[in-house]
Amino acid sequence: MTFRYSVGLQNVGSYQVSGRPWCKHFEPSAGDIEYVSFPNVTESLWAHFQENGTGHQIQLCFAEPKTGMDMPNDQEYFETSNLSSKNLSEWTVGFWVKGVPSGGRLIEFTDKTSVVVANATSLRVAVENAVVGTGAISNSDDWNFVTLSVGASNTSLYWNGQNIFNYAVTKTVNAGELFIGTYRNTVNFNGLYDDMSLFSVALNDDEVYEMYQKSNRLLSLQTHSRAAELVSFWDFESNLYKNYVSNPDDGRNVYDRVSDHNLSWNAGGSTAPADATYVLGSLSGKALRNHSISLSSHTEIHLPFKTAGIIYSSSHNDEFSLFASLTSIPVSRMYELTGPGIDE
Amino acid sequence: MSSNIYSVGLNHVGAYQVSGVPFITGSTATLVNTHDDLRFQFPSVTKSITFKNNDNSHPVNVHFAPWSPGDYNYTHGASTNSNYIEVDPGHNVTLQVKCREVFISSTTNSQTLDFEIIAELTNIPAARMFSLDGVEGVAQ
Repeated sequence: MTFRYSVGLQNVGSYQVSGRPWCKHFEPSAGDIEYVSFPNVTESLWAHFQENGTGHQIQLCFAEPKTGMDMPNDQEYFETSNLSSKNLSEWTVGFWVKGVPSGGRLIEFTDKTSVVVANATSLRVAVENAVVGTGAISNSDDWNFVTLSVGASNTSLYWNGQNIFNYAVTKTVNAGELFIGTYRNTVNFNGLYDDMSLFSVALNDDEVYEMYQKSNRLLSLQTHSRAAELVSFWDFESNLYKNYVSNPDDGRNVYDRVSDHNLSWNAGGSTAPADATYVLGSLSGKALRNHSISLSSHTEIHLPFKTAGIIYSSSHNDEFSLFASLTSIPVSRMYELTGPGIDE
Repeated sequence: MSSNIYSVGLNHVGAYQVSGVPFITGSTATLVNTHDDLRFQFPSVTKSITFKNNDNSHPVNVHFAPWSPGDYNYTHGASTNSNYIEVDPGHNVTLQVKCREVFISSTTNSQTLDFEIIAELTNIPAARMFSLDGVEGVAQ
């Protein structure tokens, strides 16, 4: 007879009996960020960082392992479909980006309005292919939120929800299609992208800040004060670590979770780069920055939490041990860990 | 009067809520090669185990399957997927875990161990514990 029943998440006895062991010794490289999944829900965890070294540390957090997109090459780009038919004469696009760049275009529209990374401390805005100004940024190879708001009389640029540049527009044009990178054979930004949303209106400062705060989830964006003007949302979810969506993105297709303006890959240039790949996204970045546990040399910690997995980040080439006491509750019973104290 | 033929099951909550029976062991053996291991079996299922590394020079590895596949009648080993934790010199760690045996291995050649294992035992017979051979996070 097949055993068809499993224990539920709130079954007290599952946490009162000692769990079965799960353990692993890790030897990560500097800068590694990885998601560790467990076969069952944990009763508790224990982590121990063995390495010596000033400034060495391991960070642990419990965010969901949702993905972002890696575009490491100069000339590949993604292009929307059917967006030009919307005849957008004003719009706002916001997205998460990670990387310390030396140049290249982050995004561009067919009308040649673009955001260009000038260097690690500034972003440029180009309107109809002419640079109209620069905004100062503080880039630290972390996830940051870029917003470009294009209206009938003003174009504004924002960095993590804060206005950094304004330009008085003299005429309006149709946005056309949106490109991640550039379609004109010039250099693209090499780095990571995540959770891009497009509104068919030029959001004001307060609305952009609201967008920044709600930008990681479609459910949150649908409560935005201008949600009626939300045209598209691309979450770059590939189901690399867990199954979140029924139609995951791949290296050549990124699906619009709101409408049908899907992004399709183009090699660009004469040498086709590899397909886009996926990594842990902006939510894990926010969690590691704001809601992580830091272990320095020769320290350990006991964590009495239920979880289906844990994310670690390593500052150097280090070693650490992770032990979990596992309940008999299947991980499929565990809900998504997200929200205050975890990733926002 | 007939003898009591029943024993407590692995998921009997009360068996873990009452304080356990002490079980203390250890070793000062010298292991010739790196990752040579020692096996410690418990007479009943554990509620918790404390590993105390008294040596101030070398860490020891703790695992729940033998280091190498094929040893001690295990098909799989802890080494294949690094399913072990390291206990620092002069440190100890307490794990709330059920099992019927543990393995300690050296981290260097000719390592003279100096450690203690302090287990809190339930009254659940060791035979009730399922095999951890090939289990993810132990030996897979």
